[in-house]
Amino acid sequence: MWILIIRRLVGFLATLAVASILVFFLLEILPGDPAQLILGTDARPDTLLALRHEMGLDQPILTRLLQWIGELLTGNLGMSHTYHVPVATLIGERLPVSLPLALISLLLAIVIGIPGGILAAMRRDKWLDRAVRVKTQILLAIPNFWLAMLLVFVFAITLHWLPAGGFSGWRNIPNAISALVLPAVALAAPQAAILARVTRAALIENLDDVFILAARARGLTASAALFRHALPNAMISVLSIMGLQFSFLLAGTIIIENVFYLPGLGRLIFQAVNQRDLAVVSGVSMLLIASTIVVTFLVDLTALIIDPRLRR
Amino acid sequence: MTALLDINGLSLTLKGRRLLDDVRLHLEPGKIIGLVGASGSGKSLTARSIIGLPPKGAHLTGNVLFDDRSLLTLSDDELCHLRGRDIGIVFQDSSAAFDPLMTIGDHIVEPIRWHLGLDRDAAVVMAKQALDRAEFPANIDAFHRYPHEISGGQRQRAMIAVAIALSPKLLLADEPTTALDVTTEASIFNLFRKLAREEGIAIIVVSHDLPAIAMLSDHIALIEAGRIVEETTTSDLMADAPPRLAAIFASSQPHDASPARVDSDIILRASHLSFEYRHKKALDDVSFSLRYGECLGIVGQSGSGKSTLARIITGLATPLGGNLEAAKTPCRIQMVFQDPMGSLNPRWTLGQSITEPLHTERLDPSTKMQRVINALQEVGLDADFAHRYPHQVSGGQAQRAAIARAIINRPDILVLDEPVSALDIGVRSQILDLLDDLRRRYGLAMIFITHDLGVARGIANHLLVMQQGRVVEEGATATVLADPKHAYTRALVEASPALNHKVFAPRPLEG
Repeated sequence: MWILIIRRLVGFLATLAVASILVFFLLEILPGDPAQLILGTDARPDTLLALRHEMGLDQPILTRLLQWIGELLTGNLGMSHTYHVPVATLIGERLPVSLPLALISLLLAIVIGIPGGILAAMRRDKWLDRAVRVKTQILLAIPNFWLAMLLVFVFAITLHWLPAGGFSGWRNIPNAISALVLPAVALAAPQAAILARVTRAALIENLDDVFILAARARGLTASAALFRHALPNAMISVLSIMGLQFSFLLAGTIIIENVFYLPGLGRLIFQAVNQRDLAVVSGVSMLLIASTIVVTFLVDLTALIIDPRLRR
Repeated sequence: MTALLDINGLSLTLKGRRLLDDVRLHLEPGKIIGLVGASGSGKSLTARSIIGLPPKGAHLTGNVLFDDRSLLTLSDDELCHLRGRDIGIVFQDSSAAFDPLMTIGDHIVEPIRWHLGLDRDAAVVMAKQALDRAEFPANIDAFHRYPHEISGGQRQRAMIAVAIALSPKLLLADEPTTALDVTTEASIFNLFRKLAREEGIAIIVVSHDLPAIAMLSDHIALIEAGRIVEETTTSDLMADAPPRLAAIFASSQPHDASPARVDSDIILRASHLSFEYRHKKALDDVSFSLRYGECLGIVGQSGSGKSTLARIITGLATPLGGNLEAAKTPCRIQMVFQDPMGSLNPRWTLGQSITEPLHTERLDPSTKMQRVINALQEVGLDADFAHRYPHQVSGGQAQRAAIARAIINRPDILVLDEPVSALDIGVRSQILDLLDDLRRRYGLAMIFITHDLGVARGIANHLLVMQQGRVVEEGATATVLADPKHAYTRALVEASPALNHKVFAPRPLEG
């Protein structure tokens, strides 16, 4: 067991290392000279040269790679040239918006999707099952920015129940949460549909297994057999999908935060790309990648705890 | 004596097809009835119908009287009170019948707490008693072991412990020993006899293997196409068998006397092979030689190293020591697996599967098709089977297709890993005849791996008996079986129903 965990941990660190190198090279092959972009096309050549030297762009590529990794290890993500503050500070300001948003969305998706999937599997091929299947199909087909605009139109503009956008910080918690409700719903809707479908499919597959028949033969009712035996087994595949969803939700904030004018990571990286603020782009990318890898690692660990077959 | 179970006119219709038709059975406490039939005859359906768990959409009619209660009129909730408490069930495939996430012990605790509402500690005490009664090895801690961590025989005992934990009146056993080797089968049967005699449990054993359950049951009922067609007591079976049961018994006997030793050149020589699996010796100093046109039988229980040897011969594993020499290069080796449905791609037609070994040769499609048709003919299938999918053919036909795939590129050696174990007895002898015919016609060398001495006797010229990775006995098949030298070989011969002449006299309880 411990050997397995250590092995996964090593894999986790290796993935992180490879990802950081990839991010470095991806930014490297982007067209355009960052110094030129900052100064504009009519900059004087000697200013350009001076800035390139200041940014370290005149160093050989290997030196810069090592520098980049060294800075990552010390937590120094560089300076944003548009805001003139450290990237880490920027992220620190934006994370309290994006992280709660992703977590609330995931929670919503779980609370709606999993019971939906269970109900559909219990009433397989009956009208409830069909209704769930049609609804999830529709939710999956709708682009979430369009759903977001629809939600704003109905709940903010027409009904005035919730704000249409903006975020005024966590000092006023009820306000902060009400600002996050619509974006969270827009983000969660397709994810809930995916979870419902995966849960339903995994459950139905397990319900046809002999061990469910065997559980029924021990006297368990159909629903007891489902909750005690089919559900835990189905959760193994549902869990791995949930891991993928979390990173998807973090990335999904890029669009949704723009629709709702939320000052989160998604908007930060969107603006940084437009302004060629490479330090911010690479810093936020690394953060998103790292969180994805951490979540995958946690999912792996949970699977290891649930499923004894993985613990050899 | 009054009946515990009285089934009258039980019929089952599923999607407009009548799968059970007027089934009648009568069972008294402490008695064992053997329900025999080919696959698809309705024997498992009968068992599932009794406990009210038929396949979805099935419609049941008739009367099932159990302990003076009419089961077909009970609601599912009422049946839940009976299932697992008054009626226990043992399933065929113990690897699928356990929840993989739960320990063995918790599987026994579950029905005890469910039905009696005991607290966990009391239920654990009862579960341990059930494990003892089912003769589950005392040195295995069932509460810290998961289903995948114990052997098939141990799982089967654990499943029996689940079924008898609450001392049911009726035990339904669906092919309880089909997946097990003969010595384990004999001890499980012994356990069933003990439960019937000492605890008065009535048992229905469902099986396709007549000689095996004739050793166990008091009564035999033959089911064909959903109808009970013949019924007899086991003692009458010997003296005065009804015609169909007599015919089935004859066809389940080894179909030939052992073929003689072949005297040709050696094609493959293995010397001092060894292999380790998870730091345990899986093969230990194994040597043998295989001749052109010879069928070498490798017999032994599960875990004896037979399959490891097959993997080494086919190059799927590299031996740790020793070597393997072929008389010619390249030496073409093909393999046939136990379960044809598993070894054929379900999304490919049989024709596509059979063509696959030809992928190294550049052939135009019409030549390929001709080769496929020839191969199909050689295994006794029509050309139109090339366009069918595995689920559209029977198990025997699928195995023929798997053999066609193995012989299409004219291999020098054919390795067969339990090729008939998954098949019905009647189909078995046809496949064995086919293999024997291929061997004679093409001088094909074969390595035939089986746990069933009865099968080995009909096909192998030469026999290698393996135990715990070692060859314990070797010789001409007829000699080894007539006069086994090693204690292990003797035990295998003893436990093999098809070789045991006293087959119809139920053996006295051991111990």
